[in-house]
Amino acid sequence: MLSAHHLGVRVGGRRLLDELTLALEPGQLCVLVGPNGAGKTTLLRALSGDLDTADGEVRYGDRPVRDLGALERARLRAVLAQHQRSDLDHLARDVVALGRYPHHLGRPTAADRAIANEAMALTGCSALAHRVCGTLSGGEQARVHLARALAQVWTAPPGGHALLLDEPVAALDIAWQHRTLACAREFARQRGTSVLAIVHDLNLAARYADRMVLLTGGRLREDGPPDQVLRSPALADAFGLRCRVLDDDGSGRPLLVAEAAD
Amino acid sequence: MNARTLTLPAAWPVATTLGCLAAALAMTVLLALGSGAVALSPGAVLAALTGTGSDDGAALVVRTLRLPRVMLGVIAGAGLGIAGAAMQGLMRNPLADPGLIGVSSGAALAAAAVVVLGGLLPGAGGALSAVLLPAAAFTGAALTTALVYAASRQDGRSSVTRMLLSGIAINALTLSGIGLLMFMGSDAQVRQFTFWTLGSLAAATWPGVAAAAAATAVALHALLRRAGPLDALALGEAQAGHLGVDTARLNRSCVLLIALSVGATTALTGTLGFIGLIAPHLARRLVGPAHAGLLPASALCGAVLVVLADTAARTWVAPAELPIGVLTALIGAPFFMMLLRSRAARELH
Repeated sequence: MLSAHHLGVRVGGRRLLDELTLALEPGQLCVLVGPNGAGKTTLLRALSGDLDTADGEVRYGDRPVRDLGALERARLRAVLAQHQRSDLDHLARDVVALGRYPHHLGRPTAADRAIANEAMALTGCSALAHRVCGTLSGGEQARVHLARALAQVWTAPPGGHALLLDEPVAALDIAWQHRTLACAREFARQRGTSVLAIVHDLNLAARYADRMVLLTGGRLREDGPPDQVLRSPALADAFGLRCRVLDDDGSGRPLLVAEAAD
Repeated sequence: MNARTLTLPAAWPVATTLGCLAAALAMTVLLALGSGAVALSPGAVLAALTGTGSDDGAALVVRTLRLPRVMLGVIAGAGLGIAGAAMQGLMRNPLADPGLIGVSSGAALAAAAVVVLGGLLPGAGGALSAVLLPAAAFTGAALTTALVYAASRQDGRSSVTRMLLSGIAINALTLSGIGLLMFMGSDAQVRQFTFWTLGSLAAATWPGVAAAAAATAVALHALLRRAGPLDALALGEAQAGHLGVDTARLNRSCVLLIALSVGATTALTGTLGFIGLIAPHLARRLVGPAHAGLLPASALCGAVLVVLADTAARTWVAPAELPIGVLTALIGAPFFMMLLRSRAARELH
């Protein structure tokens, strides 16, 4: 289980994270929302172990992340960064296969190849397997890299894997936005993975999240079921927008509608 | 047709392509061994090599005069090919080349400094120069590689423009160093500077070839063990780190291995420009970008190129000899311009 304890990050005198405590639950899709500059990516980087935190610590299970080597971390969590290199000469298949690298260290087994294939099937990019990655559209590339991240944490050790997704739907059309988050939630449920995703579209996020966390100014403002967070006045407050919450008769879920900005 | 679609790793197994390249190299070597003042057919060359021929003169020409030189060409080409492939992988940059960014001239400067300041000539001085020259060339190559690598990085990212610009600066610096040495050196030493700046395989000796072969084999073996991490590095430094690659360590070891293969060959051949640029590009077209295939394919392509260039250099204006660097630059410079115009242009920010 991946958790942050009293996390504090400062860069150049600015507090990016402040006394932040958060534990990801295995089998859940947790969506991180908040305005630009709230510290979402910083939190994700701290959780992934990329960022040295001045205060507090991140733990994988009961081990502090700074005691783990790059390889140990790679076997426990996958990270999908916001931006990927778009001019890769590699075949899509080979990019996905790289996700298994921390497990086979250069000698892939049949099981590794099978996992890469299954991950591609899950993100709907099996048909792209033999295409050169750099020739794919932005959305197709995003799915290839998502498959790579899924392949990396496909086999769960005791205590579970974590999957950290930084804006996984930013480059996708509306259908793939829905499919991707559905896929992330399914993956969490079936494999007991703790999934954390940064998503900007609040209604989309609420539709698939098991848990929604609102971050503002480096602090955790709201944390709970999506319906509750969506109805919370803190949400509209965080974005500085006047919002109305409608109840969607079809799904029985709340829908957030922003009023025109002044 | 888009050049990228020409890569065929799915349909054409990498091992098959490597086999074809090895066969092409063998044929090139036969051709090179048969070319020269005494022209020999491939059959006669084979007979001379295996000692089954009746012509003792041909056996002497092939085995004593031409074979060390051709083998040096094979080793030098292979060394520059893998150095280029590793450098392009390390810098995630298709324009990286040990010659272009001053690594070869750094090696040459260090070796030339040993010659002039130590009062030695290449080939003369015996054991001292056999150890000192490669060691100096390695040190020069390692220093310039590390320097360019450090200078081309900004905020943890490697930039094409910064790499090329720092390469220009380092090339200018090494050229001025070589100029200074020419000023200080004796007439006999100054004549040797063509060797360092334009390269030559004429000084091939078996001990030299064996030493360079050992260094190149070590570098190739060690880089092949890093093929997976180098592939992951193509995704970006942060992404490779997320996949468990210790990027700082990978960078350090690659810089040393590049310097090893460039230094070992430059000490014996002087600078051979552009081979490290062209060979990996050809190899990438043939076997794709995965380093497990790319590194050996680059070695084979580089070997073929250098042996062909050297054969042309010593036969075109016979009995005189063109400096081989003139030929490699003649092919390499337009190739580089072409690369700049095509894919790499998009990455120049």
